[in-house]
Amino acid sequence: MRKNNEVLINELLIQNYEKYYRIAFGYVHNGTDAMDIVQEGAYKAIYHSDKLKKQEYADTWICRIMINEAMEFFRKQNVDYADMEVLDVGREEEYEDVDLQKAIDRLSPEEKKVVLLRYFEDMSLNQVAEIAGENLNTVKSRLYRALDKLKLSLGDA
Amino acid sequence: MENRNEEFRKMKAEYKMAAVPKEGKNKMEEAIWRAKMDKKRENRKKIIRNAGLCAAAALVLVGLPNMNSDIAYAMGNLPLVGGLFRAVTIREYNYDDGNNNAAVVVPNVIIEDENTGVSMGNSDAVNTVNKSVEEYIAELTEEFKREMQEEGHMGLDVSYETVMDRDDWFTLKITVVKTQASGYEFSRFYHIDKKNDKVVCLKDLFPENPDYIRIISEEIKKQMKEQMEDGTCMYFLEGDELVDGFSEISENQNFYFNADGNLVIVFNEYEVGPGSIGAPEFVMPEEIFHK
Repeated sequence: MRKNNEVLINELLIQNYEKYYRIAFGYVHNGTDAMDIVQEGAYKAIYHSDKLKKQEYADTWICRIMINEAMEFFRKQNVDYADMEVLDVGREEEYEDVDLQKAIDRLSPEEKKVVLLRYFEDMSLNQVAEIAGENLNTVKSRLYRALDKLKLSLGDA
Repeated sequence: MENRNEEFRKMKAEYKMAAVPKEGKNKMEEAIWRAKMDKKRENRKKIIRNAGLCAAAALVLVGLPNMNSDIAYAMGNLPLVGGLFRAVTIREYNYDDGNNNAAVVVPNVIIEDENTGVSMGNSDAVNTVNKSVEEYIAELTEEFKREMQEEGHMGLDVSYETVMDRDDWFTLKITVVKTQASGYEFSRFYHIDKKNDKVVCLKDLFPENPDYIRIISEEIKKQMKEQMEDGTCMYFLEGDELVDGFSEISENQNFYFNADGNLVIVFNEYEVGPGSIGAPEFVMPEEIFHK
């Protein structure tokens, strides 16, 4: 069981590398930083693989580690999340739709997490709740609040 | 609203299409390999790390009478065992072949006459600590030599420090940093109750409270939660559905008393959280002794 955790996580990392990279990129909008985050996250996921309790949560768990790493990245740089759009100046070529992008970056880290996973990674709200480590209703209301801020009407389906 | 939604769909398409650099995958595989090697080494090491002086069954010590939080219970009243305690380097081991390196110092505690500085010969507790320190560092050094041959790129750094030196109390800290790609730091504390000439372990501080493990663990969990809510730190906490987090301290968890006389509980790196938080410490409130 213990040994399998490591093997399983290794497989998932390889298999889902693109997803983990995209999630990281969604936060930092910079390829080099996103790669660093995935690298560090992969290290931690393997190193702590014994701590994973249920194998069916392995992917969820890795996603959570990657997101924590991304948040840690900002914490280390001492960047206030609300000021993040300042950072994006000069990186605008990465996305064409800057306005919406800026609006997303202006969301709280918790809201951003929900939007990224639900809409960009097409996860179910249940999965999002598992990754966020919170109950479904909390995540739902957070999503609605975020959509409101973004002036989007996408529904949660 | 409709324009906005259209904008969103476009953005999402770009997100999905965004080129994912291949080199990132190679880097990731490298990190996976590093993690596996580090973990393998750690698993072998756990035995060494955890079996301190306090864990040895033969050295189980009787509880201290009147021990309390500020450990000043007998300060100035009883005659001292006598003499000045000092940690000195008795041996050094340095190695560097350009690939592996070690910088190891082996300390001993000695007792000197306060006035003349002449060695007074050691007490039982001091001898016990010295023996354990030497064995511990010898084990680490042997391990380094073995791993250097098997794996290479090893680093070992062992240093010591007198954390507290009072009339009634002496604490020696041994700090070990092992490096291979990433560093790993752990430490061990030795405490000598000078008045009673005893080596003191955590459980000796709570002779009448077998519940101390639970009480201290609750306090630590409380502090962890507070820090996590502040966003200042991240820990692996129990109750998290994904992670086997911290549930309680070990019977003889590392500790020391800080300058204010507060009990400080010490964890090794990676013991209760990701490496980014280092080797966390938790200062216990005074009441911990009265619960």
